[in-house]
Amino acid sequence: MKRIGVFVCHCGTNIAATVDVEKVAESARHLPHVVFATTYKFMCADPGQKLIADAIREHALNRVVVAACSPHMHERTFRKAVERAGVNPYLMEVANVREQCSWVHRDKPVGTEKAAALVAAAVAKVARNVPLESGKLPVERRALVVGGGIAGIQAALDIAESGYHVTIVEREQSVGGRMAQLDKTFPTLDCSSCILTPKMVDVGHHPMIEICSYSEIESVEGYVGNFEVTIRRKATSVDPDVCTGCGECWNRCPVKKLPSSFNMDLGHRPAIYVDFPQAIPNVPVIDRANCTYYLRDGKCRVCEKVCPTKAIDFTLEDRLVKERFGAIVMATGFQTASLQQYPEWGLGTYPDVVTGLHFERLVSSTGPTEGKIKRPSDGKEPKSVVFVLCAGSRDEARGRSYCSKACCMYSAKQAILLREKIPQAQAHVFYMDIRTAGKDYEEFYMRAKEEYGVNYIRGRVAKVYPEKDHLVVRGEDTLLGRPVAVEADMVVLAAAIEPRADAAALAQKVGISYNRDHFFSEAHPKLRPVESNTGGVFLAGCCQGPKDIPETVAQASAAAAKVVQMFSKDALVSEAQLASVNEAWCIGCFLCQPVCPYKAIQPKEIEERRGRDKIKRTVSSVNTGLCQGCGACAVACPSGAMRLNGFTDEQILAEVDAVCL
Amino acid sequence: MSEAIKTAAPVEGEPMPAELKTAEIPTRRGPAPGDPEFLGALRDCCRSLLAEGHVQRIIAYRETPDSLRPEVAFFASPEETGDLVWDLFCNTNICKYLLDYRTFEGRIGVVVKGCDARGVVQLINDMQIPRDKVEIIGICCPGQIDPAKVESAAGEAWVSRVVAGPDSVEIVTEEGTEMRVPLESVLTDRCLSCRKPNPPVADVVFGEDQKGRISDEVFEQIAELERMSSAERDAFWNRHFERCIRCFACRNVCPACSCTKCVFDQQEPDWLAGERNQANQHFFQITRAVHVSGRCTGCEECDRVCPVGIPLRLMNKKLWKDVKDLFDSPLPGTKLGVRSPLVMWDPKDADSFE
Repeated sequence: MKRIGVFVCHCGTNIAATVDVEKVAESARHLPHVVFATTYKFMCADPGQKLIADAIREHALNRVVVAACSPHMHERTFRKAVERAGVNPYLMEVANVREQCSWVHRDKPVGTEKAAALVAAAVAKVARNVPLESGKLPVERRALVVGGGIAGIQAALDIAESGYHVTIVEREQSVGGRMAQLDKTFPTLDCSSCILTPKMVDVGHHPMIEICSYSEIESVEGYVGNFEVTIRRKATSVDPDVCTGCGECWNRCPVKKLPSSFNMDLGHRPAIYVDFPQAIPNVPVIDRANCTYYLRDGKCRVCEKVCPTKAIDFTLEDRLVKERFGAIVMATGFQTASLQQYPEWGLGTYPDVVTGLHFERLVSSTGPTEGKIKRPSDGKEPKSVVFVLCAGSRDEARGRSYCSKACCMYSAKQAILLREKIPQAQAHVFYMDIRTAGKDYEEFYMRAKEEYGVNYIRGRVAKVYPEKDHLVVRGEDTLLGRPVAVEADMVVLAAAIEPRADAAALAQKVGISYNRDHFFSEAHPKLRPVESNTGGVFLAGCCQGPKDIPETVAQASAAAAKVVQMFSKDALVSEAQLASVNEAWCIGCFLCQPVCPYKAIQPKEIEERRGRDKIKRTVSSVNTGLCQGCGACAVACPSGAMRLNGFTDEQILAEVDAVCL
Repeated sequence: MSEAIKTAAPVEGEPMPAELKTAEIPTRRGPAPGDPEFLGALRDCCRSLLAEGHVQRIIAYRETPDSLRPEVAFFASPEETGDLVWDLFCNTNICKYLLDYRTFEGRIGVVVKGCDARGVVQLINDMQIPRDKVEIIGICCPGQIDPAKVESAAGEAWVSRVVAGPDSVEIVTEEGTEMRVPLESVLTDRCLSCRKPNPPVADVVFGEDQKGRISDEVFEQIAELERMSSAERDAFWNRHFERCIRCFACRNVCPACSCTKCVFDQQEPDWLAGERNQANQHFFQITRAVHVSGRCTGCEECDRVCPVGIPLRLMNKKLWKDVKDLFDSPLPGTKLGVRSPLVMWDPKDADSFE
């Protein structure tokens, strides 16, 4: 016998102001199987939950409908509440009478009518619900961190410090990422390397951390707690077990003039190189595309000759290493926009127009100019530098609507550094708005303006063009309402922060979602900001959205906490609302297989009786460890054999009928 | 096996369509229908396939007392192939019978026209039968004759037999009178607008490639329907749908319908109620058409078998036109390993909803 209880929440006045909750409860009392209905001010609060539990006992309820906020908010809360009272958590349905009703209506009778309809739908559905059970999944207590920037380093250290093994996969020769390229950091102006390199050394030496640098993710199989990841370890041509990092090879390599990507192509590196002097691991790699040995059939071999430990091995090849991990932290960072859509600013056309990251290398003491600010074209010290904010950001028309968040602050910092290093130089900043939300940020910006005399001009830059030996920056001062032209020896564009060019491809490999700008999507923008939509995959740093260093570090630690939380359990509880196959109906067409984002569908051979014969045929089967219950397969299935438990056709149709009939 | 015909080796390997390469049509062919040696060669071919154990069953046609209506027949031994026949009255699309052989332990030969062959390929692509289990004996089809058109041309007289020539047919009545009518006047409607009369995939082919008839009549009718107001269109389909007796013949013959439990037969939920009202009639027709869209090979067998003459081809072709315009995919059944764009997911898909 189905005995349904309906609990209508006031949500303070959130619901009660636009919905007559008593009327909704009253109308629910007349619905089939409903034996009890009541209202309460805050159903999610402890007394509210107790009210549900008491009613379950008192009225022998075996199914529950809670009319309250979105199930996104409190479905879990109420499931737990009914479970504690002895009802299977999947025999509870939430009718969303807040987001889908009270918040979108003003007219109380209309809101009340709709709320009653939504409750009727939930009652119709819950009457057809069946108890579902979660399974248990084992956990492989090893974490993979993709990306060895500050986000990856922080996450790896936090996980390793909790006692779990971590592998960092880094594409470049060394960990360090963007932060290693920066000179000073706002708002304290402490040196980026000085605070980063100790952490790099920590990951390099940590017994629980393995660094796979010069490596990339080839493929990801498996599921939460049990990922199987293939890592491509690119051929370095140097045996890391033998190399001491003495530097003989890179100092003596005759190919010296290759552009150094670490220095944003402003400096040079040899064909055998480490990214920068403090590189971790301090083992060089050979850039095979530019090494004489590989280009000219085994000629040169200077590095091999000078290496005191015979670490050079030209015959090394890419290796594919398969490893198992329980959790993955994505920390792939960002790149700055190429600004090809903005030819008027001349990035790439005029050598003295650079991005903020270029400028960092020009101020850095480890940079190509050893910290003396020189303009790229002729090495002259600039006497006037124009900083352009929102370069490529906040421009819906040309592709990026978002704010890159860090630029206001780092441009202020760069202007301060310029004024400190070249006191007679002028710093002009073109801005749309200055955004300094952050501890001590506004003060820092005011210092730039007042103490360092940085000239802030509100307006967009229309054009940058060369004149004699300098550049002219034309724009409009929108505060004065008149056009301005500023002479500049250098123009620094605060180019938009965007995800790495291959972020979307990587997201597809790992099986996580991303937004239209290719930033990885968090599971919930407020309440689950470091989890991806895929179980066991967490996000840290700029791959999820633009952010500065403190935010990145905080998010990385949060992601690490999530990983540690997972690893601290004996087993994982698997999702109960999963897809399942009605084998009798399945025709084995496998249209479900390619649409499954989690690779959860496999063929399975079954035996069937056909008249007097026993026949064998192939049908789909769902791996409950991999399935995340998204339901794509159920939609694709042409014969209706695939169903999503908890959202079956019968249940959905019952809801529709309850609303429409 | 006749010297002129050679079968290609069955394709080895995975039954997954994505893994299959398009089998090339063998260069050596059998004689064309119309050639005096054709039927003998076809029988020889089928006989030796059975005799040599290449196939354990052949699905083809057999003569009946009504010379305008040969029947589908299943040949299990070489001796039986003596009454195998293939003429211009082999209207039935036999590919659907392959479904009865899903679990048959052996290979099956099918004698197919261009339209039937697309059905075979679609069944392979829908993973209902592995490619290497089917021997496709293809015939480049000169067009099939509609027995009803012949009978109406003969008027009151009983037709005893029809002799088809390349451009005209000779109708001989029981009384012995002979009359000659142009071929086009008795061809089936679907053949009059057939663009793909040749089997796209086959192991043996009889006849040289046919050009087909490129009539735009169907698409003109679709354009006309598209120009109608929605009320006019609703009235148009209502007129047709209200005749539907839900015999499900359209579904039963369709090579894209391969579900073991059809949505229309399901009880819980009962998608299609029994009552014959406008909503249910529309629901059945539209659901059927949408269900097969993107997999409909355009064989128009549903249209041919409909006992109440609903122009199903218009619905199917309209849906095909839309799928083609949106996804630029080949006609279903013309290529091995192609799955319907409507059930595939690709990040590069057209997204016209944005």
